[in-house]
Amino acid sequence: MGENNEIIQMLRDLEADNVWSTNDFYRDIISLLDSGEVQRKFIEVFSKDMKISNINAYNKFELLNKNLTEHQRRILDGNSLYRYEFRRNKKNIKCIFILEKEDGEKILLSAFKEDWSKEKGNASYKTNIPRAIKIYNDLPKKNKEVV
Amino acid sequence: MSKIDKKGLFDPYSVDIQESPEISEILNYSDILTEISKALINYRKENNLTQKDLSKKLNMNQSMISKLESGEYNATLKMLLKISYILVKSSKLFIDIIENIRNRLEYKEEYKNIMSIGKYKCKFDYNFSNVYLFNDKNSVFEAKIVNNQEYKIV
Repeated sequence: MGENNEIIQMLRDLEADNVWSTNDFYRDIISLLDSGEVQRKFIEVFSKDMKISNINAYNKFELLNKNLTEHQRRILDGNSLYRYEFRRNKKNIKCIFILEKEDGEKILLSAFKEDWSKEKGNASYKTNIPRAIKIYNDLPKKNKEVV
Repeated sequence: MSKIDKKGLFDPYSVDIQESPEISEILNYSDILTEISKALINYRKENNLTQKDLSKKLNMNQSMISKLESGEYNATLKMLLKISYILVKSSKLFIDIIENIRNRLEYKEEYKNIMSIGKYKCKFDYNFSNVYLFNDKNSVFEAKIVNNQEYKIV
């Protein structure tokens, strides 16, 4: 329970920087961080990286839009889909998030552990990108004009 | 273009937690690194410089500039002051960085106070003359305190 508190504290901090998270992301990340030490390191590195504004300059971030189907791009509605990589020996954790075109807000959609074998690693993208897009598609939307 | 309704997202303020000072320290430190990074990137972009150009000016390796910009390097105060004097010939850049760090940390504290006051999210001015009420994360109403307990929406 104490470990969840630390993640929640990090998500509170990130929210003030316009980095929002979905329920799925919260559940994923809680299940992936198995030890207190890895969790602390993750909080330190992840919070710093997500606050950095020019994400295109760093190879921890990768724009996924070019790998998407036409249908998936339509769902994204002009927004960009990125993956972030937390490198930790052979236990890399990857997160997929949306960067909203209009105001540059980030929405963390899902997280998964990289499978070390190349074949399975590729397969994990094949399942996790559609999953992240489904999570995004299922989120309630509203028109900007409504106050 | 449709926008995500924030009410459908995970609300970290819906859970009562005891914030850990160690985690606060880690998070505040990342804020400090972010401000240093932002200042250097802004300077570089405003002056149309590449990381290589900047590294020559500062007599550093390009990898050091890259680390400073990505928040991977913990610059000392002395180093920041030196960078400031080389780039703008005064301590202005250094002072701006310190000021931005201060503003950022204050904003973070204020944001937490706003978001964590129970079900009704509200914020008081320092002199308690104004109160801002939040019915969700996107709508803010300004209100005036009528007496110690009551308020009315302006």
